Amino acid sequence: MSILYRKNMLWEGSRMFLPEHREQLLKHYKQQQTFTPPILTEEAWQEINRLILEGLEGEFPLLIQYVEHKRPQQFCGFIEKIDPHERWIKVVNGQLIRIIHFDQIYGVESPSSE
Amino acid sequence: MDSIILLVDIQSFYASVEKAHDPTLQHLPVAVSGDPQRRSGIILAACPIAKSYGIQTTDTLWEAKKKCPELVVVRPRMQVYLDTSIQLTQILERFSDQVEPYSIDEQFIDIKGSEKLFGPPQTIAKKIQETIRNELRLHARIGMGPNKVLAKMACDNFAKKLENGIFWLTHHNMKQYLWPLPIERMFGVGRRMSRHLRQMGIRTIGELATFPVERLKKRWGIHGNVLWMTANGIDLSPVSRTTFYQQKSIGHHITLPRDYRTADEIRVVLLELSEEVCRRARTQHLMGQTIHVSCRGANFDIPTGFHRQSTLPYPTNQTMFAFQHAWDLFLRHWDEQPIRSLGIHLSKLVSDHKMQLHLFEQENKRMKIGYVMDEIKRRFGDTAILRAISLTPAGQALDRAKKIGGHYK
Repeated sequence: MSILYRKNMLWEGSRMFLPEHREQLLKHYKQQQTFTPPILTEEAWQEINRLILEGLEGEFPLLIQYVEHKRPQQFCGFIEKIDPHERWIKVVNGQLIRIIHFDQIYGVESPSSE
Repeated sequence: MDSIILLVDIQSFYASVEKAHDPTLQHLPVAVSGDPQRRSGIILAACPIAKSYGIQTTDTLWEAKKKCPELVVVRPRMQVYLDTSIQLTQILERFSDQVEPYSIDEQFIDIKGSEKLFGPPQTIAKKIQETIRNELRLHARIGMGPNKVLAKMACDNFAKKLENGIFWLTHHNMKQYLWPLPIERMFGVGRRMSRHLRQMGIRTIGELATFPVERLKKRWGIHGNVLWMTANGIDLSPVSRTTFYQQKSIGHHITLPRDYRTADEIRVVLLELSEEVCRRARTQHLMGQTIHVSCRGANFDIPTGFHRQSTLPYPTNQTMFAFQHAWDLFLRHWDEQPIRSLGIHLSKLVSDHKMQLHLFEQENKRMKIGYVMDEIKRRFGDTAILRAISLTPAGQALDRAKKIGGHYK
Protein backbone atom coordinates (compact mmCIF):
# COMPACT_ATOMS: atom_id res chain seq x y z
CA MET A 1 0.00 0.00 0.00
CA SER A 2 1.20 3.49 -0.73
CA ILE A 3 0.14 5.36 2.35
CA LEU A 4 2.11 8.43 3.26
CA TYR A 5 2.21 10.09 6.62
CA ARG A 6 2.84 13.77 6.05
CA LYS A 7 1.71 15.28 9.35
CA ASN A 8 -0.66 18.13 8.57
CA MET A 9 0.88 19.08 5.22
CA LEU A 10 -2.20 18.38 3.13
CA TRP A 11 -4.13 21.03 5.06
CA GLU A 12 -1.39 23.50 5.80
CA GLY A 13 -0.53 23.64 2.13
CA SER A 14 -4.06 24.28 0.96
CA ARG A 15 -5.16 26.59 3.72
CA MET A 16 -6.26 30.16 3.07
CA PHE A 17 -5.57 31.99 6.26
CA LEU A 18 -5.29 35.70 6.91
CA PRO A 19 -2.37 36.73 9.11
CA GLU A 20 -4.79 38.81 11.21
CA HIS A 21 -6.91 35.69 11.77
CA ARG A 22 -3.89 33.70 12.90
CA GLU A 23 -2.86 36.42 15.35
CA GLN A 24 -6.35 36.61 16.82
CA LEU A 25 -6.51 32.84 17.14
CA LEU A 26 -3.18 32.70 18.97
CA LYS A 27 -4.45 35.42 21.31
CA HIS A 28 -7.55 33.31 21.98
CA TYR A 29 -5.36 30.26 22.77
CA LYS A 30 -3.28 32.34 25.13
CA GLN A 31 -6.36 33.59 26.97
CA GLN A 32 -7.51 30.01 27.42
CA GLN A 33 -4.32 29.24 29.29
CA THR A 34 -4.80 32.02 31.81
CA PHE A 35 -6.29 30.88 35.07
CA THR A 36 -9.51 32.50 36.27
CA PRO A 37 -9.90 32.14 40.02
CA PRO A 38 -13.31 31.09 41.36
CA ILE A 39 -15.73 33.84 42.37
CA LEU A 40 -16.14 33.59 46.14
CA THR A 41 -19.18 34.36 48.26
CA GLU A 42 -19.14 36.86 51.09
CA GLU A 43 -19.03 33.97 53.59
CA ALA A 44 -16.02 32.42 51.90
CA TRP A 45 -14.16 35.74 52.09
CA GLN A 46 -15.02 36.04 55.76
CA GLU A 47 -13.72 32.52 56.33
CA ILE A 48 -10.44 33.40 54.59
CA ASN A 49 -10.19 36.54 56.68
CA ARG A 50 -10.83 34.61 59.89
CA LEU A 51 -8.26 31.91 59.06
CA ILE A 52 -5.54 34.43 58.25
CA LEU A 53 -6.15 36.36 61.47
CA GLU A 54 -6.23 33.16 63.50
CA GLY A 55 -3.10 31.95 61.79
CA LEU A 56 -1.30 35.15 62.75
CA GLU A 57 -2.51 34.99 66.33
CA GLY A 58 -2.19 31.28 66.92
CA GLU A 59 1.06 30.91 64.95
CA PHE A 60 -0.05 27.87 63.01
CA PRO A 61 0.78 27.29 59.36
CA LEU A 62 -1.69 27.93 56.53
CA LEU A 63 -1.91 26.87 52.90
CA ILE A 64 -2.49 29.98 50.80
CA GLN A 65 -3.87 29.58 47.28
CA TYR A 66 -3.23 32.57 45.06
CA VAL A 67 -2.86 33.73 41.47
CA GLU A 68 0.54 34.71 40.15
CA HIS A 69 1.35 35.53 36.53
CA LYS A 70 -2.14 34.32 35.60
CA ARG A 71 -1.40 30.87 37.03
CA PRO A 72 -2.65 29.21 40.21
CA GLN A 73 -0.03 28.94 42.94
CA GLN A 74 0.01 27.76 46.51
CA PHE A 75 2.34 28.34 49.41
CA CYS A 76 2.33 26.88 52.91
CA GLY A 77 3.79 28.83 55.81
CA PHE A 78 3.29 30.98 58.89
CA ILE A 79 1.61 34.37 58.59
CA GLU A 80 4.22 36.75 59.86
CA LYS A 81 2.69 40.09 59.03
CA ILE A 82 -0.50 41.60 57.67
CA ASP A 83 -0.35 45.07 56.15
CA PRO A 84 -3.94 46.37 55.99
CA HIS A 85 -2.90 49.61 54.25
CA GLU A 86 -0.90 48.18 51.39
CA ARG A 87 -3.11 45.10 51.55
CA TRP A 88 -0.63 42.24 51.64
CA ILE A 89 0.39 39.38 53.91
CA LYS A 90 3.90 38.06 54.54
CA VAL A 91 4.07 34.26 54.68
CA VAL A 92 7.22 32.55 55.93
CA ASN A 93 8.36 28.94 55.65
CA GLY A 94 11.94 28.57 56.92
CA GLN A 95 14.12 30.43 54.43
CA LEU A 96 11.28 30.96 51.98
CA ILE A 97 9.29 34.16 52.18
CA ARG A 98 6.30 35.23 50.08
CA ILE A 99 4.59 38.59 50.00
CA ILE A 100 1.08 37.94 48.73
CA HIS A 101 -1.31 40.72 47.84
CA PHE A 102 -4.93 40.40 49.07
CA ASP A 103 -6.24 40.57 45.49
CA GLN A 104 -4.20 37.51 44.53
CA ILE A 105 -5.66 35.24 47.18
CA TYR A 106 -8.58 32.97 46.36
CA GLY A 107 -8.33 30.29 49.03
CA VAL A 108 -6.84 29.52 52.44
CA GLU A 109 -6.71 26.16 54.18
CA SER A 110 -5.65 25.32 57.66
CA PRO A 111 -4.07 21.90 58.23
CA SER A 112 -5.07 22.05 61.90
CA SER A 113 -8.76 22.58 61.13
CA GLU A 114 -9.10 19.03 59.85
CA MET B 1 -14.37 4.26 18.84
CA ASP B 2 -12.61 5.44 15.69
CA SER B 3 -12.02 9.11 15.16
CA ILE B 4 -14.97 11.05 13.90
CA ILE B 5 -14.02 14.30 12.28
CA LEU B 6 -16.51 17.01 11.43
CA LEU B 7 -15.94 19.84 9.00
CA VAL B 8 -18.19 22.72 9.97
CA ASP B 9 -18.77 25.21 7.17
CA ILE B 10 -20.90 28.35 7.35
CA GLN B 11 -23.25 29.01 4.46
CA SER B 12 -22.43 32.26 2.57
CA PHE B 13 -20.35 33.38 5.54
CA TYR B 14 -19.86 37.13 4.99
CA ALA B 15 -23.39 37.68 3.67
CA SER B 16 -24.94 35.59 6.45
CA VAL B 17 -23.04 37.52 9.13
CA GLU B 18 -24.39 40.78 7.68
CA LYS B 19 -27.92 39.37 7.70
CA ALA B 20 -27.54 38.17 11.27
CA HIS B 21 -26.46 41.66 12.33
CA ASP B 22 -29.28 43.45 10.52
CA PRO B 23 -32.65 41.67 10.70
CA THR B 24 -34.21 44.04 8.14
CA LEU B 25 -32.08 42.30 5.50
CA GLN B 26 -33.54 38.91 6.40
CA HIS B 27 -35.76 38.37 3.35
CA LEU B 28 -33.79 40.43 0.84
CA PRO B 29 -31.13 39.33 -1.65
CA VAL B 30 -27.86 40.41 -0.04
CA ALA B 31 -24.33 40.35 -1.37
CA VAL B 32 -21.05 41.52 0.11
CA SER B 33 -18.87 43.24 -2.43
CA GLY B 34 -15.49 44.92 -2.44
CA ASP B 35 -14.87 48.51 -3.47
CA PRO B 36 -16.33 48.99 -7.00
CA GLN B 37 -13.75 51.73 -7.61
CA ARG B 38 -11.03 49.14 -7.33
CA ARG B 39 -10.50 45.71 -8.73
CA SER B 40 -11.69 44.20 -5.49
CA GLY B 41 -15.18 45.26 -6.59
CA ILE B 42 -16.40 41.72 -6.99
CA ILE B 43 -18.99 39.68 -5.12
CA LEU B 44 -17.25 38.13 -2.11
CA ALA B 45 -20.34 36.39 -0.81
CA ALA B 46 -23.98 36.18 -1.82
CA CYS B 47 -26.82 34.97 0.39
CA PRO B 48 -28.97 32.05 -0.79
CA ILE B 49 -31.71 34.43 -1.98
CA ALA B 50 -29.20 36.36 -4.08
CA LYS B 51 -27.78 33.09 -5.40
CA SER B 52 -31.26 32.07 -6.57
CA TYR B 53 -30.98 34.96 -9.08
CA GLY B 54 -27.86 33.31 -10.46
CA ILE B 55 -25.39 35.54 -8.66
CA GLN B 56 -22.09 33.83 -7.95
CA THR B 57 -19.05 34.64 -5.88
CA THR B 58 -16.45 36.51 -8.02
CA ASP B 59 -19.14 38.04 -10.27
CA THR B 60 -18.39 41.70 -10.80
CA LEU B 61 -20.73 44.13 -9.13
CA TRP B 62 -22.37 45.27 -12.36
CA GLU B 63 -22.90 41.68 -13.51
CA ALA B 64 -24.63 40.94 -10.23
CA LYS B 65 -26.79 44.07 -10.45
CA LYS B 66 -27.84 43.06 -13.95
CA LYS B 67 -28.95 39.64 -12.71
CA CYS B 68 -30.82 41.10 -9.75
CA PRO B 69 -31.52 44.87 -9.80
CA GLU B 70 -32.94 44.90 -6.26
CA LEU B 71 -29.77 43.34 -4.82
CA VAL B 72 -28.70 44.89 -1.51
CA VAL B 73 -24.95 45.39 -1.65
CA VAL B 74 -23.04 45.61 1.61
CA ARG B 75 -19.43 46.64 2.16
CA PRO B 76 -17.25 43.95 3.74
CA ARG B 77 -16.37 44.37 7.41
CA MET B 78 -13.46 42.01 7.79
CA GLN B 79 -12.93 42.57 11.50
CA VAL B 80 -16.53 41.54 12.24
CA TYR B 81 -16.07 38.36 10.21
CA LEU B 82 -12.84 37.52 12.02
CA ASP B 83 -14.51 38.05 15.41
CA THR B 84 -17.41 35.82 14.36
CA SER B 85 -14.97 33.15 13.23
CA ILE B 86 -13.30 33.16 16.65
CA GLN B 87 -16.74 32.93 18.31
CA LEU B 88 -17.41 29.91 16.16
CA THR B 89 -14.15 28.35 17.36
CA GLN B 90 -15.25 29.00 20.93
CA ILE B 91 -18.59 27.29 20.36
CA LEU B 92 -16.90 24.23 18.83
CA GLU B 93 -14.44 24.07 21.72
CA ARG B 94 -17.38 23.35 24.03
CA PHE B 95 -17.85 20.04 22.21
CA SER B 96 -14.22 18.96 21.97
CA ASP B 97 -10.79 20.38 22.69
CA GLN B 98 -9.59 19.29 19.25
CA VAL B 99 -10.65 22.14 16.96
CA GLU B 100 -8.64 23.28 13.96
CA PRO B 101 -9.81 26.28 11.93
CA TYR B 102 -9.14 25.65 8.25
CA SER B 103 -10.26 29.00 6.87
CA ILE B 104 -12.34 31.92 8.05
CA ASP B 105 -15.58 29.93 7.67
CA GLU B 106 -14.51 26.29 7.91
CA GLN B 107 -13.27 24.45 10.98
CA PHE B 108 -12.38 20.84 11.72
CA ILE B 109 -13.41 19.27 15.00
CA ASP B 110 -12.50 15.79 16.25
CA ILE B 111 -15.34 14.55 18.45
CA LYS B 112 -13.74 11.30 19.49
CA GLY B 113 -14.37 10.91 23.22
CA SER B 114 -17.19 13.48 23.31
CA GLU B 115 -19.99 10.96 22.72
CA LYS B 116 -20.33 10.20 26.43
CA LEU B 117 -21.14 13.83 27.07
CA PHE B 118 -23.19 14.72 24.01
CA GLY B 119 -24.45 11.48 22.47
CA PRO B 120 -23.77 9.72 19.15
CA PRO B 121 -21.95 11.58 16.33
CA GLN B 122 -25.12 12.47 14.41
CA THR B 123 -26.59 14.01 17.56
CA ILE B 124 -23.41 15.97 18.24
CA ALA B 125 -23.48 17.35 14.70
CA LYS B 126 -27.10 18.41 15.15
CA LYS B 127 -26.34 20.03 18.51
CA ILE B 128 -23.42 21.95 17.02
CA GLN B 129 -25.66 23.13 14.20
CA GLU B 130 -28.37 24.23 16.65
CA THR B 131 -25.95 26.04 18.94
CA ILE B 132 -24.48 27.96 16.01
CA ARG B 133 -27.97 28.86 14.81
CA ASN B 134 -29.11 30.02 18.26
CA GLU B 135 -26.04 31.99 19.20
CA LEU B 136 -24.73 33.36 15.92
CA ARG B 137 -27.85 33.06 13.74
CA LEU B 138 -25.83 31.33 11.05
CA HIS B 139 -26.53 28.13 9.12
CA ALA B 140 -23.76 25.55 9.43
CA ARG B 141 -23.28 22.64 7.06
CA ILE B 142 -21.43 19.71 8.55
CA GLY B 143 -19.49 17.01 6.75
CA MET B 144 -18.61 13.95 8.83
CA GLY B 145 -16.00 11.33 8.17
CA PRO B 146 -13.37 9.08 9.71
CA ASN B 147 -10.70 11.60 8.70
CA LYS B 148 -10.31 15.17 7.53
CA VAL B 149 -10.35 14.56 3.80
CA LEU B 150 -13.58 12.54 3.88
CA ALA B 151 -15.17 15.12 6.19
CA LYS B 152 -14.22 17.86 3.76
CA MET B 153 -15.57 16.00 0.74
CA ALA B 154 -18.71 15.02 2.66
CA CYS B 155 -19.32 18.68 3.33
CA ASP B 156 -18.52 20.09 -0.12
CA ASN B 157 -20.24 17.42 -2.17
CA PHE B 158 -23.21 16.38 -0.04
CA ALA B 159 -23.90 18.34 3.17
CA LYS B 160 -24.05 21.65 1.29
CA LYS B 161 -26.69 20.27 -1.04
CA LEU B 162 -28.93 18.75 1.60
CA GLU B 163 -31.75 20.51 3.40
CA ASN B 164 -30.54 19.48 6.87
CA GLY B 165 -26.92 20.23 5.98
CA ILE B 166 -25.36 17.13 7.52
CA PHE B 167 -23.76 14.20 5.70
CA TRP B 168 -21.64 11.32 6.96
CA LEU B 169 -19.18 9.78 4.52
CA THR B 170 -17.54 6.54 5.64
CA HIS B 171 -15.21 4.00 4.09
CA HIS B 172 -18.29 1.82 3.60
CA ASN B 173 -20.60 4.26 1.83
CA MET B 174 -17.87 6.13 -0.04
CA LYS B 175 -17.97 3.74 -3.00
CA GLN B 176 -21.69 4.32 -3.34
CA TYR B 177 -21.70 8.12 -2.98
CA LEU B 178 -18.24 9.52 -3.62
CA TRP B 179 -16.80 7.30 -6.32
CA PRO B 180 -19.38 8.01 -9.06
CA LEU B 181 -18.71 11.77 -8.84
CA PRO B 182 -16.72 13.46 -11.63
CA ILE B 183 -13.04 13.91 -10.84
CA GLU B 184 -13.32 17.72 -10.55
CA ARG B 185 -15.37 17.28 -7.40
CA MET B 186 -12.49 15.69 -5.52
CA PHE B 187 -10.56 17.72 -2.95
CA GLY B 188 -7.21 18.80 -4.37
CA VAL B 189 -8.15 18.50 -8.04
CA GLY B 190 -8.19 21.82 -9.83
CA ARG B 191 -8.98 22.69 -13.39
CA ARG B 192 -5.54 21.84 -14.73
CA MET B 193 -5.21 18.58 -12.82
CA SER B 194 -8.64 17.39 -13.93
CA ARG B 195 -7.61 17.98 -17.54
CA HIS B 196 -4.48 15.85 -17.07
CA LEU B 197 -6.47 13.10 -15.37
CA ARG B 198 -9.15 13.08 -18.04
CA GLN B 199 -6.45 12.73 -20.67
CA MET B 200 -5.34 9.59 -18.85
CA GLY B 201 -8.89 8.27 -19.03
CA ILE B 202 -9.74 9.01 -15.41
CA ARG B 203 -13.17 10.65 -15.27
CA THR B 204 -14.53 9.79 -11.83
CA ILE B 205 -13.16 9.68 -8.32
CA GLY B 206 -13.69 5.91 -8.33
CA GLU B 207 -11.60 5.50 -11.47
CA LEU B 208 -8.76 7.41 -9.81
CA ALA B 209 -9.08 5.27 -6.67
CA THR B 210 -8.68 2.05 -8.64
CA PHE B 211 -5.96 3.39 -10.94
CA PRO B 212 -2.50 1.86 -10.35
CA VAL B 213 -0.88 4.15 -7.80
CA GLU B 214 2.60 3.45 -9.18
CA ARG B 215 1.73 5.15 -12.45
CA LEU B 216 0.40 8.21 -10.63
CA LYS B 217 3.56 8.32 -8.51
CA LYS B 218 5.74 8.05 -11.56
CA ARG B 219 4.05 11.01 -13.17
CA TRP B 220 3.48 13.37 -10.21
CA GLY B 221 5.58 11.97 -7.40
CA ILE B 222 4.23 12.56 -3.90
CA HIS B 223 1.37 14.63 -5.26
CA GLY B 224 0.16 11.68 -7.36
CA ASN B 225 0.33 9.46 -4.31
CA VAL B 226 -1.68 11.95 -2.26
CA LEU B 227 -4.38 12.24 -4.93
CA TRP B 228 -4.74 8.46 -4.97
CA MET B 229 -5.02 8.43 -1.17
CA THR B 230 -7.69 11.14 -1.27
CA ALA B 231 -9.71 9.18 -3.84
CA ASN B 232 -9.54 6.18 -1.52
CA GLY B 233 -10.56 8.27 1.48
CA ILE B 234 -7.20 7.87 3.23
CA ASP B 235 -5.79 10.77 5.22
CA LEU B 236 -3.65 10.41 8.32
CA SER B 237 -3.47 14.14 9.18
CA PRO B 238 -4.36 14.98 12.76
CA VAL B 239 -6.80 17.67 13.86
CA SER B 240 -4.27 19.99 15.37
CA ARG B 241 -4.49 23.26 17.24
CA THR B 242 -0.75 23.68 17.27
CA THR B 243 -0.58 23.82 13.50
CA PHE B 244 -0.74 27.63 13.83
CA TYR B 245 2.09 28.08 16.28
CA GLN B 246 4.86 27.45 13.87
CA GLN B 247 5.15 29.92 11.08
CA LYS B 248 7.05 28.91 7.98
CA SER B 249 6.91 32.11 6.04
CA ILE B 250 5.70 35.66 6.31
CA GLY B 251 4.39 37.37 3.23
CA HIS B 252 2.05 39.86 1.65
CA HIS B 253 0.48 40.06 -1.76
CA ILE B 254 -1.45 42.96 -3.16
CA THR B 255 -3.73 43.30 -6.17
CA LEU B 256 -3.06 46.80 -7.41
CA PRO B 257 -5.93 49.24 -7.93
CA ARG B 258 -4.78 49.75 -11.53
CA ASP B 259 -2.06 48.27 -13.71
CA TYR B 260 1.38 49.52 -12.76
CA ARG B 261 3.56 50.12 -15.77
CA THR B 262 6.79 51.77 -14.71
CA ALA B 263 9.61 50.52 -12.54
CA ASP B 264 9.34 53.65 -10.38
CA GLU B 265 5.73 52.91 -9.48
CA ILE B 266 6.31 49.24 -8.79
CA ARG B 267 9.32 50.09 -6.66
CA VAL B 268 7.11 52.11 -4.29
CA VAL B 269 4.74 49.22 -3.66
CA LEU B 270 7.54 46.70 -3.32
CA LEU B 271 9.16 48.87 -0.66
CA GLU B 272 5.85 49.20 1.19
CA LEU B 273 5.33 45.45 1.09
CA SER B 274 8.90 44.89 2.33
CA GLU B 275 8.16 47.22 5.22
CA GLU B 276 5.00 45.33 6.13
CA VAL B 277 6.58 41.91 5.88
CA CYS B 278 9.64 42.93 7.90
CA ARG B 279 7.44 44.58 10.48
CA ARG B 280 5.51 41.38 10.97
CA ALA B 281 8.79 39.48 11.23
CA ARG B 282 10.05 41.95 13.82
CA THR B 283 6.94 41.77 16.00
CA GLN B 284 7.41 38.02 16.18
CA HIS B 285 11.16 38.38 16.69
CA LEU B 286 11.95 36.46 13.54
CA MET B 287 14.32 36.95 10.63
CA GLY B 288 14.15 35.33 7.22
CA GLN B 289 16.95 34.18 4.97
CA THR B 290 15.08 33.46 1.76
CA ILE B 291 13.19 36.14 -0.06
CA HIS B 292 10.45 35.41 -2.60
CA VAL B 293 9.02 37.85 -5.09
CA SER B 294 5.99 37.13 -7.20
CA CYS B 295 3.96 39.13 -9.67
CA ARG B 296 1.17 38.66 -12.17
CA GLY B 297 0.91 40.36 -15.54
CA ALA B 298 -1.94 42.72 -16.31
CA ASN B 299 -3.24 40.88 -19.34
CA PHE B 300 -5.72 38.30 -18.15
CA ASP B 301 -5.92 36.48 -21.47
CA ILE B 302 -2.20 35.79 -21.66
CA PRO B 303 -1.30 34.87 -18.10
CA THR B 304 2.21 36.00 -17.35
CA GLY B 305 4.15 36.60 -14.19
CA PHE B 306 6.68 34.81 -12.07
CA HIS B 307 7.55 33.57 -8.64
CA ARG B 308 11.26 33.68 -7.85
CA GLN B 309 13.30 33.31 -4.73
CA SER B 310 16.80 34.05 -3.65
CA THR B 311 18.85 33.36 -0.56
CA LEU B 312 20.21 36.31 1.35
CA PRO B 313 23.79 36.32 2.68
CA TYR B 314 22.37 36.27 6.23
CA PRO B 315 18.90 36.27 7.83
CA THR B 316 17.26 39.66 8.14
CA ASN B 317 14.17 41.57 9.18
CA GLN B 318 15.47 44.95 8.06
CA THR B 319 13.24 46.63 5.55
CA MET B 320 15.88 48.21 3.34
CA PHE B 321 18.08 45.15 3.19
CA ALA B 322 15.19 42.87 2.31
CA PHE B 323 13.89 45.40 -0.18
CA GLN B 324 17.23 45.74 -2.00
CA HIS B 325 17.37 42.01 -2.63
CA ALA B 326 13.70 41.82 -3.56
CA TRP B 327 14.11 44.69 -6.01
CA ASP B 328 17.17 43.11 -7.65
CA LEU B 329 15.25 39.88 -7.97
CA PHE B 330 12.24 41.64 -9.47
CA LEU B 331 14.27 43.57 -12.04
CA ARG B 332 16.08 40.42 -13.10
CA HIS B 333 12.85 38.61 -13.98
CA TRP B 334 10.40 41.35 -14.92
CA ASP B 335 9.48 41.44 -18.63
CA GLU B 336 8.68 45.18 -18.43
CA GLN B 337 5.02 44.52 -19.11
CA PRO B 338 2.35 46.11 -16.87
CA ILE B 339 1.53 44.14 -13.74
CA ARG B 340 -1.71 43.73 -11.78
CA SER B 341 -0.44 42.20 -8.58
CA LEU B 342 2.73 41.92 -6.58
CA GLY B 343 3.84 39.92 -3.56
CA ILE B 344 6.83 39.34 -1.33
CA HIS B 345 7.57 36.58 1.19
CA LEU B 346 10.27 35.86 3.73
CA SER B 347 10.97 32.24 4.57
CA LYS B 348 13.59 30.06 6.30
CA LEU B 349 12.73 31.89 9.47
CA VAL B 350 15.03 32.02 12.50
CA SER B 351 14.90 33.84 15.81
CA ASP B 352 16.29 37.39 15.86
CA HIS B 353 18.05 36.86 19.15
CA LYS B 354 21.23 35.80 17.41
CA MET B 355 22.64 37.75 14.52
CA GLN B 356 25.64 38.09 12.28
CA LEU B 357 27.73 41.17 13.16
CA HIS B 358 29.59 43.17 10.52
CA LEU B 359 32.94 44.81 10.65
CA PHE B 360 32.08 47.97 8.80
CA GLU B 361 28.32 48.35 8.95
CA GLN B 362 26.35 49.69 11.84
CA GLU B 363 23.81 46.94 11.88
CA ASN B 364 22.62 47.65 15.38
CA LYS B 365 21.42 51.15 14.62
CA ARG B 366 19.49 50.07 11.55
CA MET B 367 17.88 47.28 13.44
CA LYS B 368 16.77 49.67 16.18
CA ILE B 369 15.18 52.06 13.67
CA GLY B 370 12.87 49.28 12.56
CA TYR B 371 11.78 48.46 16.10
CA VAL B 372 11.23 52.13 16.95
CA MET B 373 9.05 52.61 13.87
CA ASP B 374 7.05 49.51 14.81
CA GLU B 375 6.49 50.84 18.32
CA ILE B 376 5.25 54.20 17.00
CA LYS B 377 2.84 52.38 14.69
CA ARG B 378 1.66 50.12 17.47
CA ARG B 379 0.89 53.01 19.79
CA PHE B 380 -0.43 55.63 17.40
CA GLY B 381 -1.80 53.59 14.48
CA ASP B 382 -0.46 52.12 11.27
CA THR B 383 -0.27 55.45 9.49
CA ALA B 384 1.40 57.42 12.32
CA ILE B 385 4.76 57.11 10.59
CA LEU B 386 5.26 56.40 6.91
CA ARG B 387 7.98 56.53 4.36
CA ALA B 388 7.65 59.72 2.29
CA ILE B 389 7.51 57.61 -0.85
CA SER B 390 4.14 56.23 0.32
CA LEU B 391 2.63 59.68 -0.26
CA THR B 392 3.35 59.53 -3.99
CA PRO B 393 0.41 58.54 -6.23
CA ALA B 394 1.72 54.97 -6.52
CA GLY B 395 1.75 54.45 -2.74
CA GLN B 396 -0.72 51.99 -1.23
CA ALA B 397 0.28 52.05 2.44
CA LEU B 398 -2.40 54.54 3.55
CA ASP B 399 -5.14 52.54 1.91
CA ARG B 400 -3.83 49.17 3.08
CA ALA B 401 -3.75 50.31 6.70
CA LYS B 402 -7.55 50.41 6.63
CA LYS B 403 -7.89 46.86 5.37
CA ILE B 404 -7.70 43.22 6.32
CA GLY B 405 -7.09 40.73 3.54
CA GLY B 406 -7.54 43.44 0.92
CA HIS B 407 -10.97 44.53 2.16
CA TYR B 408 -12.06 47.19 4.60
CA LYS B 409 -11.91 46.31 8.29
